[in-house]
Amino acid sequence: MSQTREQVLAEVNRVMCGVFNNPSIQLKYETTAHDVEGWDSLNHIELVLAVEKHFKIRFNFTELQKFKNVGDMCDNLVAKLAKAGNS
Amino acid sequence: MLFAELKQNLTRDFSALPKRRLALLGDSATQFLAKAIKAYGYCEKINFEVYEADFDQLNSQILDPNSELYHSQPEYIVLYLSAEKLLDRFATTPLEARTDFAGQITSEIESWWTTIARHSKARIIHLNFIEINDAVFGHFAAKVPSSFPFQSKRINFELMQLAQEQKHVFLADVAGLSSAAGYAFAHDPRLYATAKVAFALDFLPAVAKAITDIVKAISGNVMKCLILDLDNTVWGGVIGDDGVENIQIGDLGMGHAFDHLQRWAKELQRRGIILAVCSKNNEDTAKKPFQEHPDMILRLEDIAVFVANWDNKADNIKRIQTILNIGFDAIVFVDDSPFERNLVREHLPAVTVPELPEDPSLYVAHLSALNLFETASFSDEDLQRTRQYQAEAARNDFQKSFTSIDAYLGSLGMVAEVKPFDDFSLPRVAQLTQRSNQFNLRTIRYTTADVDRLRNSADYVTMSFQLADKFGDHGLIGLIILKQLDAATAFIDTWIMSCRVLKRGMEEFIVNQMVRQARDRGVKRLVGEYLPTSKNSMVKDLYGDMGFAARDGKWELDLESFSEFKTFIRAK
Repeated sequence: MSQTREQVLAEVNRVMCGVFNNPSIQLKYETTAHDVEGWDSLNHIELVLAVEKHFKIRFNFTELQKFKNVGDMCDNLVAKLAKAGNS
Repeated sequence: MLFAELKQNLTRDFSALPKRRLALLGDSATQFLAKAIKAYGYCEKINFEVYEADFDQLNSQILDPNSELYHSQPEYIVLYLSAEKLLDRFATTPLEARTDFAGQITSEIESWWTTIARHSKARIIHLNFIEINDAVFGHFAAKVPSSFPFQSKRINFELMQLAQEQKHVFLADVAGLSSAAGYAFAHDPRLYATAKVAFALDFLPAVAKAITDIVKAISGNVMKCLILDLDNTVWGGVIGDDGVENIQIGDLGMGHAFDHLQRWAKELQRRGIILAVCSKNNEDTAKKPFQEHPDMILRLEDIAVFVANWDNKADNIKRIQTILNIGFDAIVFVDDSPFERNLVREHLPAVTVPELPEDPSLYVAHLSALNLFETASFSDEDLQRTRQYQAEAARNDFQKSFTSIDAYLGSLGMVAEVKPFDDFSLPRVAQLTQRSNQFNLRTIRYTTADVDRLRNSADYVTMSFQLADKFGDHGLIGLIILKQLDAATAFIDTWIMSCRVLKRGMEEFIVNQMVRQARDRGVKRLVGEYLPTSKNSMVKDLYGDMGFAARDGKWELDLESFSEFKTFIRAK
């Protein structure tokens, strides 16, 4: 089902709070790993897997390497969900 | 259980839980597994302090006696080599060496095991290899000794054989877990490619459970008794309503589903789990199928305690527990009725009461997936257990006809054999030190290797006690380890006795025997100590009752003034 960028951001935010066991995380589009405490490579893997599970999509390796911030991931998700909704 | 759910436990308060030091060494990234173990420990009330070695440092950590591994003083060392890494290694093995690839790998692993034993008392929990088919030969690999599937299966097989000789090694059957869950569930190729994490996240709870189950079993926390409901659990239908010809077992109705459960229970009984029945029925009616139905797999002689009446099941389970003299936490209760299950959970929270699927054909698959009967040892005595407990039940009946306890004890014709530990008793002795919780004065756990060392040391006297009476042989029911502290003093390092033989003069008999041995060595006083645990309060007054005098938190017996207790036990 298609979703807006704002909806996707809110859901990613919720998934992340679960993975990091931290309910007070507040993501913005320009947030990067440096901005969030505890966002190391290990948590990053868990986050990616949890986001995939939540939205029932898969990122490929090249996509993951291109994400510079949370906004990039959200844009990718919006596109993937729109495509899934149309098919 | 998903990893994300399990992980929530990490935010809980572990401070009240007993600590266990565990070291984790792997040849792939182990951080997630470490988290899973820590989090799973919470489910089983264990506070694991996990020492995690750096990635792929097995050799240096194990070989260097001053490594961080040994400094962390682990009680348990988990060794985890991944199948994927094994496949990489196979690929770099020259063709001509591949038929002995398994031999090379297992001899490396074996030398790690023996090296660890030299530097540490830790028990090793070794995860076996997931058996992957690399699809180079397809199914035909089964006939090609130089193929990877052939060699990796051989490795797992040889590890089992080697582990039999190494008492401090326990194998966790990860291959079995993977074949139950599927390799696609157990391994995530992207996770491995990007982060060298070889187990998929949602497979980790199963691995953590396996490790925790083994830790629990080694520390003596094992299930000893399975209590079964009858109607719609052991057979289909209600015996009181349907009659013995119409209950479903064998070819009738859903009979084969119940056969399956009975066969499983029978196998457990054969390996030493005590079976008991707890049923709401008239006793005669309930016993009928066991006596008369040709398709019953379980027979009356398989059941150590049979309770069928109309009292509530919590009270009946208490009765069974009293007769068997085991802890509630060693009991599993299986009943198809949610009402009975909840009643028992509510009144006897220590009893394990698994859920049961509504469909009887799913009973065994569900119960066996829970792995309720993990054990850390197996000996011939386990096989005798049902008969011993049945004899005890008969003894209980017999006891009612005597008014004087002395007359009763005298009539039992008890004969005890006292021996130093020998090759035959060694595994049983070690098992008793690991499992006995109640009649255990200091609760010191020993491995077979430890016991072997003690019995060969000049400073120690070891005694095992076997008891038989006219109802049967109890087997090895007591053990003593005395340590000579100086020319005049011997310390009772270990005194363990089976609760099955309480109150029949065995305690007094053991003191008599200790005194004889001590006097032979010129010892003037015996010193005993009681170290309280949550389970051994039954022996807190033992030394006082045996005539020892309290001194400095310990107990002393002056051998010069001691005169032997009168007992009804004859030494063989």
